[in-house]
Amino acid sequence: MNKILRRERLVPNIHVLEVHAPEVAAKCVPGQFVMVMPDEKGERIPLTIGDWDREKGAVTVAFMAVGTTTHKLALMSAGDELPVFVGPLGKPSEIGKFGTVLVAGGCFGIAAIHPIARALKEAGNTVVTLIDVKANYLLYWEDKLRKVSDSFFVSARDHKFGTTHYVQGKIKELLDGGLKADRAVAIGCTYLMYSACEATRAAGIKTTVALNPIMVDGTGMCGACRCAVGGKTKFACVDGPDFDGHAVDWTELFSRRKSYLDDEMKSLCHWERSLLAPGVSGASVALPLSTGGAQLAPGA
Amino acid sequence: MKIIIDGRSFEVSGEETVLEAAKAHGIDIPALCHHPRLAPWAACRLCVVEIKGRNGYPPSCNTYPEEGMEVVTDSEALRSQRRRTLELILSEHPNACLVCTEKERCDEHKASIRKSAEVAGCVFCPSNRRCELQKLVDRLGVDSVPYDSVYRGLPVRRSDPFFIQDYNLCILCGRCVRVCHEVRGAAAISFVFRGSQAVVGTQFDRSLIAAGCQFCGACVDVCPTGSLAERLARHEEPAEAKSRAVCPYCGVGCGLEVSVLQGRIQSAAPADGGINRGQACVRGRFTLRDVVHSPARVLKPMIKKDGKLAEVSWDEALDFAARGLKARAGKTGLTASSQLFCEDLFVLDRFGREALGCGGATPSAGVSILDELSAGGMTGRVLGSLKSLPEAGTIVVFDEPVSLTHPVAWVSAFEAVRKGAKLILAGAASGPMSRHASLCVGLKPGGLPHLIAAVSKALLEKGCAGAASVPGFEAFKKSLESACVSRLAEAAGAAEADVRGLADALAGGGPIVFLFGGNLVGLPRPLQGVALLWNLAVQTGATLLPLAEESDTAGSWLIRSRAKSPAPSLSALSESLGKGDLKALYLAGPMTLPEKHGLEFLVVQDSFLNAACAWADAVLPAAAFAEAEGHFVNLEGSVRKSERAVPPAGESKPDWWIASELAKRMGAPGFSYENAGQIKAQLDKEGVLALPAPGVSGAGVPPPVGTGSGLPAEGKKAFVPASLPAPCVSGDSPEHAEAPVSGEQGSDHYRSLSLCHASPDLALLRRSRRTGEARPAAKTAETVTAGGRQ
Ligand SMILES: Cc1cc2nc3c(=O)[nH]c(=O)nc-3n(C[C@H](O)[C@H](O)[C@H](O)COP(=O)(O)OP(=O)(O)OC[C@H]3O[C@@H](n4cnc5c(N)ncnc54)[C@H](O)[C@@H]3O)c2cc1C
Ligand code: SF4
Ligand code: SF4
Ligand code: SF4
Ligand code: FES
Ligand code: FES
Repeated sequence: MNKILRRERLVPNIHVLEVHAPEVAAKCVPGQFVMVMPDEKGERIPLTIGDWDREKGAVTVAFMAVGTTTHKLALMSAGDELPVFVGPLGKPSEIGKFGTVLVAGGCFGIAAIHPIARALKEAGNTVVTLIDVKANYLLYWEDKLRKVSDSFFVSARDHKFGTTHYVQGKIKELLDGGLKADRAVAIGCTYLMYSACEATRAAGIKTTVALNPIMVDGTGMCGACRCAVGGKTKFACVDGPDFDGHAVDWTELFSRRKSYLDDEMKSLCHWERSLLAPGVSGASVALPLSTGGAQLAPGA
Repeated sequence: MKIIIDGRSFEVSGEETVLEAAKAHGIDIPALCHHPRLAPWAACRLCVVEIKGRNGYPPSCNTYPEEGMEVVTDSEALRSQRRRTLELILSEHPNACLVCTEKERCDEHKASIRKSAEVAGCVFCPSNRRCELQKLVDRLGVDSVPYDSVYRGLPVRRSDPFFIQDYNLCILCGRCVRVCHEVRGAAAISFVFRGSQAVVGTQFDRSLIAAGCQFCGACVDVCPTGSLAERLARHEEPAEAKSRAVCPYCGVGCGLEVSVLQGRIQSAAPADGGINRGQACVRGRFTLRDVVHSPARVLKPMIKKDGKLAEVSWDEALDFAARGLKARAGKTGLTASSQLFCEDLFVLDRFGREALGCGGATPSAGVSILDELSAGGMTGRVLGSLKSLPEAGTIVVFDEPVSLTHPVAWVSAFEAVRKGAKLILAGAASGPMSRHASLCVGLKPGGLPHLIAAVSKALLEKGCAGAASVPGFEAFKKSLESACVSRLAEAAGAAEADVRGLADALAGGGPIVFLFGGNLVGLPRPLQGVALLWNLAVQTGATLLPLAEESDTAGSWLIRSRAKSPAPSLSALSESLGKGDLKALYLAGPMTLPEKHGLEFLVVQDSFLNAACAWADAVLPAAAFAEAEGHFVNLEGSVRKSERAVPPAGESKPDWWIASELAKRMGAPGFSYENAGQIKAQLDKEGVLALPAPGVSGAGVPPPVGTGSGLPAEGKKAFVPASLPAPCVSGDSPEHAEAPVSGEQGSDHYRSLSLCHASPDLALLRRSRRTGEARPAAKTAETVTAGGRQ
C-alpha cells in the first residue's frame, strides 16, 4: 500500500498525484514510469514519473481523466492508499550532451517531459521547451518548466497567445526562424508525438518519443504493449517507452490504442452508474425477475 | 398579408414570426435560442435581419410581419454582425477545436478522449459531430475567436440519473429552461444568478431529482450544445442509422427515433411531429436501450430435459411444444401481453381459438379500460382524442397521476392550462400536475365512485338540467334520488365545498375533458365507477379521454372484439385454473404464477427470463419490440407502425412467427405467414382495426397520424345504468379496505421485465420519489471535477 500525499486537479481534466513510495523515489530516473491501481478490483495503468523527492520518499505523476481507472484516481484524496504503485519501470531516457534540444509536451506530457528537460539542462544542453495547450486555462507547471529551459514557447488555439498553431506548426515556425536543434524529445498524446515527428523529419532532427500503447503488466510478460519500430517488434514497457519517432509505425499504434474503446465506454458507464445508485438493482441479475403482470390467483 | 423577404413576395398569416415565415418559404435564418415549440426569447441575437424603415438589426424570432414589410435576411453587414455575436458566445465556450487547423485529423485519432471528465474542446465533447453550435460555426465561417478563452470551471454535474449536465458548455440559449417551464410544466431548472454569472441550475443548487425533475429528457433534446448529454450514449460516435418506432410502454404511443450504432440501440429520442410532437417521457427516452439489450434476454429456445431447461434448436423446441399442447387441446389457457403488436396479438388469438381450442388470447394485464367501457355499452361520441386536449377549457383528472403514467398526455393537458384552462385534480396526482391545479379534491382510497356520484348530485341540485333531453336522463336522475352530497363527499374523503366547487366548474363550461385511467379501473367494482363517470360526462357535455394502460390495449381490444365470443377474461382463466380445468398454459404475457396448480404443461413465450420460466416445460425466445415491425393502436385509436431497428437478439423470433409455427405443427390451417406485412394486410382486409371501439372514437377525432384506421364514431350519447356506490356513513367501508393503492410502478414494465430492473437510473429515480430521499449519500463522479484541491 502506498499513501497518497496529494491529489489535485491542476487544470480541467488533468490531475497531479503525489504518492509516498520511497523505493520508487530512491531509484527512478527521467523517462521511467510506474504501474498504478486505484483499487484491488480495477486495472493496472502506466503513468510517467513527473517528479520525485528522494528525501521525502515521494513520487509525483500527472494524469488525465480519460477512462474508468483515471476517473477513479481523480476521486482519491490525500490519505487514501493505492494497492499498487510499482516502479520504476522502463528504460531511462537517453540523456547526453547534444547541444540544443527541443523538448515538446502536451496534456499529461507537460509533466512527463519535466524530468527529462531538467536532466538535459543539467547535462549542459540548451533546452528549448515547447508546450502545446488548447487554451490558456490548460497550461500548468509553466514555472517549473521555465526554470529548466533556456527558452519557452507555447502553441495554442487561443487568442491570448496570439497563435492558432498546433505543435508541428510552431516547430516549423521555430525552425524557419533559425532554431538549430540537434535533438528533439516529444511526450503527450499519440497524435502530438506523431505531429512533432512529422515536423522534425524534414530537418533530420533525431526525435525521441515515449510511446504509450496499452500496457498490462509493464514488465515484458504479456505482450500487450507490442509496437513496431524500424520494422521490428518491440515491447514498449521493457524496450522503451522511448523510441526513435521517425522509425515508429504510427498507423499501427493509433489503431491498437483504440481497440478496446467499446469496452472502455461500457466500463466507464457501468462504474458511474454503480456510484450513482449503489444497492439499486443492477442490470446483471438473471432469474428470477419481478414481473409486470397481474398475479394469476386461482379462483379469484 | 404580403411581405417581402429577400426580394421575394410572400403571403403570410401574420401569426408567425418573420423567422418562421421565412423558414416556411425555405429561407433559413441562423438562430440559436429559437425553438419552434417555445415562445420567442430573443437572447442570442443571431437571427438579426434588416427591415426597411427600421433602425438597427431587429431579431427576426420575435418580430411579427406587417403589411408590406421588406426584410433582408442576408447581407455582408448581417453576416459580420452575426459572426461578431457568435465570436462573443464562443469566448466563454471551449473553442479550441472549432478554430483548430488540425480538427479533422485529430478527431480521427482522439476517439478515446471523448471519455474525459471535462470538455476542453470538441474532441472531448459528447456532441462532437452532432452539434448545432458546431454547424453554426461552420455555416457562419467563424475561424478565429478574437478574445482570450475563458473556462467557467463549474463542476460537471454527474450525480443525477440518465444525463450529465456540464454547464461549462452552456451558451445560455435558455431552451432547456423554457421547455421545462413552457412545455413540460415541471419547472425543475431555471437561470440562477444574473449577468456574467448567469447559469442554468436548480433552486438551492439541489440535484435534479430533488428539484422535481421528471427526467423527460426534453431539455437534453433541445440543447444545441453538449451541455446536457445522455449518460449511456455520450461517449459514443454519432449513430449509423435511425429508424422510427412507437414506444411500447403506455397507451399514448409516442413516436420515437431510434438511433442504432453497430447493430445495437444507442438511444431513442422523441420524433418531431406526430402524436407526441417532439416529447416523450423518461421511460421512452431513456430506458429502451437497457431493456432491449438487457442481460435477462432469452436468447435460445429451451425445453425441459431431465427436469432442467436445456437449450435446443427451434425445430426441436417447436415440435416438443406442439406435441405437448396438442395433447391438451381444449384444456389449455393462453395469455398475451397488450404490449405486443397487433400482428402478434391477432396471430396469437387465432392460435388460441384454432389450435389450442381455448377461445382466444386473454390479456395478461387483466381488465382494461376499454373492456369496461364496452361492457357497459359506453361507446361513441363522448370519447375524445389527445388533440382535443390542448383546446380544453376545463380538465378534470380522476385519480390518475397522469404526468407519471401518461406523461405526454400531461404535456397536452398542460398546453391547455398555459392557455388558461382550469385543471382540477381528484385524488392521485404527481409532481407538476399539483403545481398547476386550480382545485385539488382530496380522496380516500376507493372513494372515487362516491365523489363522482356526489358531483352528479350536486349538479342536479344546482338545476343544471341541460342534459334532460338525453336518453336515459330520467333513470339517471332517479338513481341519484336518495343520494346526499355531503354523505357521499364524506365517504369519498373529500370536502363538501370541494365537491360543490368541482360541480360549479363543470357547470361553468368551456370544452370539458375528463381524464381517467388504471386507478378507476383497478377498483373492486370498476364498471360501476366507469358508468358513473360516463354519466357525469353526458350530464356536463364533457369529453372522456380514457388513458389506456398499455401500448396496444386498444389493439388487443379490437382484435378480441372481432370475434363473436370474446376470449376468456383473466378472472375466468384464473377460475378454471383454480378448479383444475386447465392442463396446459401458454404464457405470451407476463404473469406471476406462484404455484403449478396441477398444470401438466407450461410454455413461456417471452423476451426475458422470468419467474415462470423456472418451471416451464418450454421457453420460446421472442424478439423485443424494436427487433420486429408491427402496429400498435393507441389510446385514441390511431393505428401506427413501429419499424424494426435492430436484428432480434440471439435466436429470438417475432411473436407472430412462433405462434404460427406452432399452429402449423398442430395442424391448424391458414398460418403460413411469411412476414408481419401479410398479417397486417389480413387485418386490414377484415377491417379488424377499424371497428368502432369504445374510447377510441368521437366527434372531432382528427385523422390518425399512422396508417389505416378510422374508427368511426358510432354509438349514441346516452346515460347508462349505474348504481350508487354502497353508502358508508363513517370510516372505511369494506370496499375501501380492498381498493388498491395507486401504484407508481404499474406502467414500469415491458413484457415481464421491470424497467427498474433493467435501468438502475430509473430504479434510483423511482426509489427516491417513493422515499422522498433526494439522493443516496455516496461519493459521486461529480467530485472528479469539483475544482481544485481537496
Ligand atoms: C508508458 C506509458 C506512460 C503513460 N504515462 C501517462 C501519464 O503520465 N499520464 C497519463 O495521464 N497517462 C499516461 N499514459 C496513458 C495512460 O496509461 C492511460 O490514459 C490510462 O491507462 C487510461 O486508463 P483508464 O482506465 O482511465 O482509461 P480507459 O478508458 O481504459 O482507456 C482510455 C485510453 O487510454 C489508453 N489505455 C487504456 N488502458 C491502458 C493501459 N493499460 N496502458 C496504456 N494505455 C491505456 C487507451 O488508448 C484507451 O483508449 C501512459 C501510458 C503509457 C504506456
Ligand atoms: S458543444 Fe459543440 S462546439 Fe462546443 S465543444 Fe461540444 S461539440 Fe464543440
Ligand atoms: S428532464 Fe424534463 S423535467 Fe427535468 S429539467 Fe429537463 S425538461 Fe425539466
Ligand atoms: S444547457 Fe443547453 S439548452 Fe440550456 S441554456 Fe445551456 S446551451 Fe441552452
Ligand atoms: S505491458 Fe505486458 S509486455 Fe509490456
Ligand atoms: S434566435 Fe432570435 S435571438 Fe436567438
